[in-house]
Amino acid sequence: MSKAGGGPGSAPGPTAAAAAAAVQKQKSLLQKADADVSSLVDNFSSLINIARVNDPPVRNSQEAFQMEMRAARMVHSADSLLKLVSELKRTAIFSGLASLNENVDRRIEVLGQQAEGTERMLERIGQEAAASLKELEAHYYSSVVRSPSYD
Amino acid sequence: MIPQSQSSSLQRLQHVEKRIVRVLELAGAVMEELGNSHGPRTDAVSAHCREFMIAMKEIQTTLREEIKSACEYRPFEKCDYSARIANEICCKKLEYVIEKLDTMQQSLEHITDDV
Repeated sequence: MSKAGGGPGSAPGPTAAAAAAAVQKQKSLLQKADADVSSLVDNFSSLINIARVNDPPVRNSQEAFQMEMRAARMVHSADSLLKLVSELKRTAIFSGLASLNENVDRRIEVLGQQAEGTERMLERIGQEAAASLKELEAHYYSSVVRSPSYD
Repeated sequence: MIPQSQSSSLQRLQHVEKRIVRVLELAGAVMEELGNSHGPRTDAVSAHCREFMIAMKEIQTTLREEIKSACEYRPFEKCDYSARIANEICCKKLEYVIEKLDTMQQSLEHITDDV
């Protein structure tokens, strides 16, 4: 494998960079999810507080506007969460490890079958070679060209 | 057919989507109840708020789990390295045996020629 760049210091490998990117992405997504959930809960609480009937003097217009604003923020947060869920679903479909693991399992099975077949073939070859060697030895020691015996 | 783990993950996300829509409906129901001309029913408002908070907790928990599983970096949970190496070892064995058999063949041919 060729090494890019020279000098004493070496750049981090692709695995380390990918791991760091994954960690950063996870952190950002978690923060986004927590922020949206917190926004939903806070705006809902504020909405209920604003809806409380107050003693005069009342500020109906201002409170109505605040309620609309809170409701809009809730809808916005929910929409953001739905987009996050869509992204996660896309990730689950295209980057899911289940299908990849199935492919790896299938490949392992194929390789295992090939290795097993090869081992059986080698075993058979060994047995045939051993049988042939015994037959050859029998022929040799019963032939006239056998080495003379030393008495 | 979708694999089991992938289907389970998609189902959980689908359920979260429905829960998100549900929380908005609950918020609307609470506001409608508060705007009731006969006065809001306390038990209904309480039930809706409780369901809202339970749904939010479920949404947050599920999303955090799914985000962690989706962003967790690992090349493969399973690896075919051992199987590939075993296969390569078998190939080396075959090459060695073929070499020996060729040597035996040459020896036999040599002996036959001598005879």
